[in-house]
Amino acid sequence: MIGLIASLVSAVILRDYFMLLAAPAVFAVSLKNRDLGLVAYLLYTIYAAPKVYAGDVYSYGDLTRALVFTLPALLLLEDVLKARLGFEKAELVPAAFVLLGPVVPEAVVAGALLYFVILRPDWRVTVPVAGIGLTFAFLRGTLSGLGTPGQTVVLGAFTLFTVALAFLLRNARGREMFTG
Amino acid sequence: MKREDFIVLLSLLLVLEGYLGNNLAPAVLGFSMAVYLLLVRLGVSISVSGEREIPESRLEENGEGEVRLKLRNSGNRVVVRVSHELEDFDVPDAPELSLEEGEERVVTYLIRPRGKGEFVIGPTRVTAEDERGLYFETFEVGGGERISVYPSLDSLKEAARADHNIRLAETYRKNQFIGTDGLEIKELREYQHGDDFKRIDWKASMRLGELIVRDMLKESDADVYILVDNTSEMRKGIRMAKVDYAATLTLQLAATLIKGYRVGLVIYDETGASIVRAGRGPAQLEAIRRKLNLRWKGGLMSLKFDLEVRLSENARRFLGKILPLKKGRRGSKGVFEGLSLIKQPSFLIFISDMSNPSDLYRAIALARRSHRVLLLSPNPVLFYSGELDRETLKRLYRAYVKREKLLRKFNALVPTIDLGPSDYIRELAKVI
Repeated sequence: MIGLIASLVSAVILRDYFMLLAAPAVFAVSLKNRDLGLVAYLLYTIYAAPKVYAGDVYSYGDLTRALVFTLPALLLLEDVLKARLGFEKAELVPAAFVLLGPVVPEAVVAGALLYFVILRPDWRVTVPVAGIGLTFAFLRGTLSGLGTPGQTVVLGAFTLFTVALAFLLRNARGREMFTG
Repeated sequence: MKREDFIVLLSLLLVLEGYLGNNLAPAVLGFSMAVYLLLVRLGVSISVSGEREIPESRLEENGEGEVRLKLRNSGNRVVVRVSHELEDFDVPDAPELSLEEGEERVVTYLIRPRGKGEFVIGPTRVTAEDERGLYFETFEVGGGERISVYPSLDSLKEAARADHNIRLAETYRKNQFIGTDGLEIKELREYQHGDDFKRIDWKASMRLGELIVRDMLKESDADVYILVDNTSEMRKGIRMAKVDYAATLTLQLAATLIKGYRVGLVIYDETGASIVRAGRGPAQLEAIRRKLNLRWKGGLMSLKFDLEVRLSENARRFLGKILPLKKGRRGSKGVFEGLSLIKQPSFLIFISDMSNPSDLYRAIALARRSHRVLLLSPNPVLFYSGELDRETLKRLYRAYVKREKLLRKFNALVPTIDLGPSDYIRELAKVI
């Protein structure tokens, strides 16, 4: 349930009352039906994401705002997929960080990252994350000049790369939607 | 669409939304979602193994058997669904459970056979799904166990009852047990299936263009004799002997019939027979009641129904003459003595379990030359009230099948009605 709390905190920080109301609704739908929850989540993110404006990765304020929206939304996806009420052990410490969010917005980012670290991810997950970090760091001159669309294209390219990586590195049988 | 594909689609949509909206936030979410998917996909580890145990290899038809699964999870936390696609069994509640990392658990569920026979149970399919519901693996546990499903006593009873009802309905329809046809015509009516061809009025049929039969007025002055089998098999029983039932049935029949007919009673056993001459009125009924002091005898029924009627009547008579020593040495002869006590052409109601079918068959074949005969037969299978185990069920089933054949033979000779311990007394009394 850390995702729901993080989303509420994120809504408070960003002063977005739609998120404040919609995040619990999405979570409630997922408790009834996981697939309906996913559909609700799609509508929620498609509607809520454009309302949070971030124009430049190299602007601290913009990057923080984007991450304060993004990481709680990701945690909400985790909650929607798990479709379970109650806290797990792994969520307790990150949740404490997240709750500090209204005071220190960066704490939400730290809490969310901590949660994902606690999940003990495979080292290969760092490849696209490090890749995009290094790209933006080393190509700062070029990319800051390209503006928002150029930076979005870079993000898009890394998204495709990550998806390809996910499907190439591991075979897994995926569960169909709405099949029980 | 797979859930995973849905997330990929959403991720790409968000990137596109960011590009078109000139906003980095949706694109960052799209990228993060792709990384999340990579994290989950690389981290998923589904590995469940187990053994299956079916404690009961013998099941009763319509009963339930337990299946025990011992499952071990050597991967991440999973949700396990057990499905059992069996052609011959129903699985009322297939279990679903959550298994923690390294957890071992025993889960039980029930299977219900759809029919009787011997079956080989296929493996149980265990579907383990990761806790996010994105990925799954299927495993097969067990397989090859044999299960025998035996017919239940209830199904035997039901089958016997169905068969009985058909016969009873036929009897209702014909309604010609008692009384003989007189010379006077009661009415003409349309031919119905089962009517005697001899009754067809051909002239009327030609005139009206359809088959017409004559219903004659019945002469009801024939005496009615109830012949009760009191041989050893009829007296056997654990809680209730067939002869007790026969006594109750006799009294009920007598009480009903005595209002319109002269009713008598013959009780025969292996060695002899005794008679209460046909008469009317309450005194006669009391005499019949006093005669019905038949003694119950403990023990298991033999359930043998072997009919050894292979010789024709002429051949039998011939053998009886040339082999005088054999005459009268086998079987119960009381039934013949009982028949010899009835002098007038009468209506005879035999109550016998057909445990000595050869003699009974011969006696009835003899009796129907001069009497009208009805056979009421308490079915020993339906009267069985002892413990049920595999062997007993087998034995009962075999006895039931054998008895069915026998019933068909007797039915070809005279109307025969199969009876259970409590079902038909009132109904039968109504018919007659």
